[in-house]
Amino acid sequence: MDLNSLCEKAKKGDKNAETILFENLSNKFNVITQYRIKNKQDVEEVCQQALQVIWEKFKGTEFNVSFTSWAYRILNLKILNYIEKKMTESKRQIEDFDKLRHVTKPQTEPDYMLKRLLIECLKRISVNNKTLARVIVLQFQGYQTSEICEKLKTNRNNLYVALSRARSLMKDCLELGGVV
Amino acid sequence: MDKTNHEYFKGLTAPYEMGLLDDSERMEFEEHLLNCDKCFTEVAGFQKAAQLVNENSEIYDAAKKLAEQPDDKIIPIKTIRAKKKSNPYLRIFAVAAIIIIMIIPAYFIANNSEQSQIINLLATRSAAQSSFSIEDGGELGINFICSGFILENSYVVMISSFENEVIYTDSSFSEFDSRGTGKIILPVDKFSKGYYKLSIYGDENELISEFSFLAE
Repeated sequence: MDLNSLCEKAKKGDKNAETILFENLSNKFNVITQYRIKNKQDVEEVCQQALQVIWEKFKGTEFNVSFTSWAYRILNLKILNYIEKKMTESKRQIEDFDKLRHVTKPQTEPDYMLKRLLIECLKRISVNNKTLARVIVLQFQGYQTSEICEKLKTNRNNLYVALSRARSLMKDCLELGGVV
Repeated sequence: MDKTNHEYFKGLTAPYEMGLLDDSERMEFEEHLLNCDKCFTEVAGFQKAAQLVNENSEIYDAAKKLAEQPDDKIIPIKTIRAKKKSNPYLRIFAVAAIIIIMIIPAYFIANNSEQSQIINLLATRSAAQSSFSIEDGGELGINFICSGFILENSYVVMISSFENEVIYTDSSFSEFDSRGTGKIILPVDKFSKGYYKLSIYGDENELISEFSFLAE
């Protein structure tokens, strides 16, 4: 579903295209924002703020870039504003926010099973390749990508390639329920 | 690198999910997600797993243990690949052999009135994805595939309805094949319509795995 084409149709008055456009945009914004903001309620709020601005302005705006580029910039700005707001809150709240990052969820069945499966698949792929395990450890400890590359004695490109391979193996393993 | 090339962005998926892209790469990738349904579906489908990998302390602990293990037992992937010889006739023969091997059991299963249905239970499948029909009768073959089994051990396996009515128990189950697949065969008439769960317990009564399936 090409969002730029949908936008063109929506600007011409196609209500159906407008509905589909914003449904798709909302879905994609949610996924993107969840990778950067941990709190689900805040994710929804930030996405809604971005969508509100886009909805108010898209018909009357002449884009210098594509619609998706313009829309993404609005979302990115909203996310950055949220992060900045969080960073300026009190020390106690920042500590709580950091602690929340490492709290495991209650063992509801779907997360518990997925977690077990992830651990087993990590073990299986680590027989031949420990890159993913090592990156998980370093990333969890707060190292930046350049520092991770230094510790693993590799460069950024090679690290990305290694992670892509590991991801492919993990995905195959997960789909087979842990049997590779 | 041609940044309109889909392959370029595909290579950024894994580092993106782990939060390792720098700001400019991340922005390019996220904008690409708005334009590419394929990449978006890939990222959305893996999101829960990626978040657990990034944030869960148990997974961190497991990764830490694995990362600390010595590398002496590593078999480099390149070495394995280098041993493969390209032989088109061998490949054709292998494909034909695989097809024949797949057809023969299917023929016997189709003609085997005693084991009329088979369901394969995976930890990632929902009950609706593993269902069988009561009306077809005969016997039901239940294959369950799960990681974490040590083939030499025995386990307690129980099948019960969601209302906790137990219809099958084996307190020393050890019928695993070499891939770790457990197999149970039961008459279909043991089941009535509804949801069931197959639970596996270890020797300290700890729940190891649980699968759900549906009798329709």
